[in-house]
Amino acid sequence: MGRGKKVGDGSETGRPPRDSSTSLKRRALLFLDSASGSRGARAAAYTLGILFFLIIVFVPPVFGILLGGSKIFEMLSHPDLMSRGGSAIAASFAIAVTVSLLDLAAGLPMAWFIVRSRSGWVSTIDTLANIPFIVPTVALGYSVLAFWSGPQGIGSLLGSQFVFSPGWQTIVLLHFAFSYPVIVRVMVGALQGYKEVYETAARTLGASPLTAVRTVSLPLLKPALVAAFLLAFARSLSETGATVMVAGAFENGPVFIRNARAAGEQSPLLFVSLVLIVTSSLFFIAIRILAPKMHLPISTVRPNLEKRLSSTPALMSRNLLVFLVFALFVIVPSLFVVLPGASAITDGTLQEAVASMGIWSKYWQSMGLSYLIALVATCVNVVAGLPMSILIARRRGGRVVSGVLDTLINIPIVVPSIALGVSIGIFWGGVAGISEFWLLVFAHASITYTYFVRSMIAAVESIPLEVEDVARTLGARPLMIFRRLTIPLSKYSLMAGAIMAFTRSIDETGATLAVAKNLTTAPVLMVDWVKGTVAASPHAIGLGLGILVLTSFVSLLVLTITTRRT
Amino acid sequence: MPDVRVAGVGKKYKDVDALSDVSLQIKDQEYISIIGPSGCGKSTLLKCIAGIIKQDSGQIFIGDREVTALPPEERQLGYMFQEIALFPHMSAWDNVGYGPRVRGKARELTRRFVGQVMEMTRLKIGARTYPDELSGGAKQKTALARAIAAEPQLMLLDEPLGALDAHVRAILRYELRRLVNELGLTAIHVTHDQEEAMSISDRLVIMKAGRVVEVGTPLELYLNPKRLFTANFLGEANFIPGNVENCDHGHVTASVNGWKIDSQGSGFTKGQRVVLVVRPESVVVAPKKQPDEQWTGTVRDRALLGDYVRTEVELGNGLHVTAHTTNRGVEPVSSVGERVRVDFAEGGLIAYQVPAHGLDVELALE
Amino acid sequence: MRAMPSIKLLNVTRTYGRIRAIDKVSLEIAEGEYVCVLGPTGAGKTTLLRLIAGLTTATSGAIELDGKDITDVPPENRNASYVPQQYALFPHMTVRDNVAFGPLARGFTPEESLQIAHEMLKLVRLSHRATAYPHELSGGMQQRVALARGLAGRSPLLLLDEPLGAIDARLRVILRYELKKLAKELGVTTLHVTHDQQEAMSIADRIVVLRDGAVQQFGRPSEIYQGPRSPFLASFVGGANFLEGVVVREARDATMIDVAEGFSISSSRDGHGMGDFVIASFRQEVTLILTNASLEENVVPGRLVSISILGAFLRCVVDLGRIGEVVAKVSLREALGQRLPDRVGDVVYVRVDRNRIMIFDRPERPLAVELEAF
Repeated sequence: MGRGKKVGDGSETGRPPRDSSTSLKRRALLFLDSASGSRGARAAAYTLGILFFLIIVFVPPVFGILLGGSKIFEMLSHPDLMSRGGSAIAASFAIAVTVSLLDLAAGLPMAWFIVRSRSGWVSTIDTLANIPFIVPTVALGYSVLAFWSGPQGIGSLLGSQFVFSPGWQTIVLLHFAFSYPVIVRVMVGALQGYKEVYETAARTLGASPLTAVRTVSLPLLKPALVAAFLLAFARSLSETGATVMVAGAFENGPVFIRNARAAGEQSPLLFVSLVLIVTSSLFFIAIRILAPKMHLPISTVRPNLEKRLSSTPALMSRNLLVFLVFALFVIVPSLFVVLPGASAITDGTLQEAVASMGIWSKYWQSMGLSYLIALVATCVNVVAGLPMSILIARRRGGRVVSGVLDTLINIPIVVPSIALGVSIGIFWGGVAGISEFWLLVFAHASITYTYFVRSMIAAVESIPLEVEDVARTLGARPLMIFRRLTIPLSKYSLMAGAIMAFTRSIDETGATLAVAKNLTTAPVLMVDWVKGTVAASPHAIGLGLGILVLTSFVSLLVLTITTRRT
Repeated sequence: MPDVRVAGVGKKYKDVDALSDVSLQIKDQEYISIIGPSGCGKSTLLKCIAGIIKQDSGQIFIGDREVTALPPEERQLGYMFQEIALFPHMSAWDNVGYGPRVRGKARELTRRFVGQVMEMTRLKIGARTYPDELSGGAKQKTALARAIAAEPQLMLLDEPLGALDAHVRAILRYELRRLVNELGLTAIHVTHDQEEAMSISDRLVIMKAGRVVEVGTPLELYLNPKRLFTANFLGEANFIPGNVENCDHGHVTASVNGWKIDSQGSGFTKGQRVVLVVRPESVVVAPKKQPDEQWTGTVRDRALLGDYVRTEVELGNGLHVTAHTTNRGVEPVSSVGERVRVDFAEGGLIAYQVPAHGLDVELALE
Repeated sequence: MRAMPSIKLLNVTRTYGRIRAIDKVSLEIAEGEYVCVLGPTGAGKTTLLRLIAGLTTATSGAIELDGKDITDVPPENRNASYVPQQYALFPHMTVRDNVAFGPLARGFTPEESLQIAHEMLKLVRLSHRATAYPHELSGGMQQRVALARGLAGRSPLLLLDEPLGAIDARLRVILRYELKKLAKELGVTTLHVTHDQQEAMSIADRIVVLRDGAVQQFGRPSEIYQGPRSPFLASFVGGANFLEGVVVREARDATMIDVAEGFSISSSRDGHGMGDFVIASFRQEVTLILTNASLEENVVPGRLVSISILGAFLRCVVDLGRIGEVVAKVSLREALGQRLPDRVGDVVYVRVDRNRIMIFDRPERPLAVELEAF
């Protein structure tokens, strides 16, 4: 039997003999690598991940409210409060559902354009569609308020009958604007991963483009449509700071809670928070279960009508409408804050700001606090969230456990953040020695955890299992696979997830409003400025918000640069 | 059923010519295969004919209609995809009925029509079966039924058997041809598998690097290929470089590393470099009779490949030749290390000019 | 000098719920052997490979490598290199770093690992692409990188899952010999999974034929080809003609089978009794076509239905009336000599040598189902 030449020698298991010349760092790595080979070590890491999730992220926001005890139900004996609270909750859901459906209708064609069009405008439109992401929601709130309700906004363009006074209409307009990029991003991702061959097959069988999309592509994209809907819904239900700015006298859930807190009324605060937590969680789980069973209408066929609707003039007018909606209801309102901000540069407000005079000293303090909290919360989430991501993505705990965890991690973003904050406050309130700063960090960590973990899960799931299989058979222990394969291959999503969590934290108003007594973060301060709780000129507000937008923009720029280089 | 004409079609992707001035004429009811290595442009060409891709230049005619600017849904095609692409959210029956339905056929009529098509393609599938429950071969047959049910005038098949096991492919390809014949359709079939193409096509179109290399019937191209690439692509061949000693009346005497050999060929001058091509089935291996003859060598490898025995011989003058001998059940003549004589069947050797860009580039399969 | 492992599977079973992906498989593979695992999709070939690699655990049974029981040993300690169907090259690493990964994982220093990688790349003739990334390479080159990576890990055992699956038909024929040569040069024991029987026949020392998770036959290519143990094996490896019939006369070295109301053929095989229901089977290349009638035995008249060109062979379908249809593979030369392409539709005669007729028991399931014909 011809053995042939061999290229060296090795020990029984194929590993070379160790000698004393190996460096300390290498020995440490080798030790850790082989330690990760033990099932026990890995189980410990996953268990710690799950414990962190439960203790910090999940239990306090969802169950903490129950510690409020009997005080919660005092409100039941006040019928006028009950009706006010009831209408606020109903309003929250009504607005959230309406806005999400409107956003789907407006955002889906936009996503289609971005992915399928060959026009040179695509990358510009793609970047523009992200603007509401970049602009912090408080700035967005003020911008929308100024555009739709202010004297210099749409009124000056089209006449005063188009001006809306602050109320549910402005809430709808605000929520439409900030949920729009969510829909577009999710659908763009889904479309890019969608195999166009199905649509092509439908067309070779005689289906017009519209028929093919309606009967083949949309049904196949249903999971993405549902996910996009739920995300937009969650955002609308949860948002507090900007909603407070534009609500005027109207109340939805978060506004009601904020008013109750400001007035010092405990029971309405607790009760409505509890109801919101329960209903939003149930709604989310219900949609998750029912959605796969829902069928889009695909069996009816109207070939002639759909052929005419697929024609070039029909297509162009559709695109025109989509862009018009985009411009008028998303872009312009988002950027409107630039105007007062620009004036602030010329009239001396800027010098005051830089010199930290008057209201500005508190401003810089709150900015610093916001960034510090965001940094700490994000770091904590990255470290604790990594084992969880792998656990869920690779189903390490078994299919059932991973499935349950996969659903549970979404709950903190479905529950309105102010209700979440109330619950967290009560939970940790009993624990002595927790400073307000750490309370805020926990609240922010809880809210932003999901953003990071979901991003990592998607990244890990996209690494083909075979890559890990091969690495294992080549002798790599789990930690080495993690270091040399998983992390490098998911670097982009890791950074993206971390930045998303970071910016979400900067943005956060709801839970902060509920938890903080003495500390003030930047966006909360901005709400005070706008509502007049703290006196500030429109130019100061514009400048303050403008700086917030700028710093947010810089963080996102950092993301783009660092991830592009990899 | 119409004939198909492709005139001067070109397509560029970034700076690469996916298609370069491609022209073809396909007769009514002909079954044509377009073959070539991966990246030669055959799929791109098919997609241009289907209207799935828009070509940069040239025209396409189906029948007397110019379809160059028409979208795929108006070209009356049946298209089979390499990925099969059955709609996962519809049952197999609904898949097959999709074509008639989108053209406005009533539900009951469609159901009966689908039944007929299923019978014709010999598919036995329940009404509630979904694509993911079907085997590979059944999936492909369903895709075929779906294409047929759309009542096309032209069948376009893009590596239709690519996703299937080798032995299923070898059976299903004849089914494809039978059905296309029965329906009297014109068909264009793209594949990288030359045996598949040769076994069922009326004519073959050979492509390489975006251009048409040669067109002809399988027999013509196999026995008398005009290009060396065709000889290499359509089946195995031995390529023997040599120099012309004499050439007249269709015979060429060449010198190969000092040994002499006769082959077919004309138009060569003395001293010219040539490449002699001989198929392995025309190489005969026999035991060596006398010492130090020309065209003798040692057996380096021998394997029974089923219906034939493959023998690799290293000749005394440094060349390697491969011989295929039909397995008649008699023990093969040679075993590894044995000294043998190599003969060439009459008419088996053909002389070719050495291509300007070099033999290796010409023969390259990727 | 490290000894090469032999592989031993003892009654290995792997179930998924009620599905038996691998059903009581026992195998012994010697050091340095090149074994092909052949079978249709779903036969369990990949599962078998993954069981040996340790990526899947056996439900029952034992696996030994080099005499040691490794049934519960994780993959990273088995020293069996696995190359999956799509190669799974690490996309973010250069070719050289891909190949150096194995040695690195086994504890060699980075410098040593690079050195080993360079040697392997020279062996597969890809030194000039050492700094390229996987997506920049052609399919054939990616395959060679995957091989180099698998071999650089110093594993004495190589597990290849359809290594030529993504390669063009023509190129496959050339690359498979290179694959075998490389494995033999390095003396590695190789398990090569494929669904292509021609591929297996041309390079395997021995072939394991799997179907529905069970071993159908395990032997040298010539053994399986000349002595298949079932109609499925005769059909799957090499293809054959099948005629159903009844034994009407039997003697030593001769059996006569009635294949259609009074018409019989004779085979030199024995082992079946009078009245047995059997399947007579013979290969396509020994199914001879004669243009004139003959008085020899085993000559049947029929009509030449169609001819397909397979290159060196012509595939001729002959309709034998009540008996059925048979396929004959005639060499191109002979076919042209007999002017067969012009004779489509004419009456021809089919003859099979008695020594080439195999006899099988009639299977329980109908033959078409048994052969998984479409």
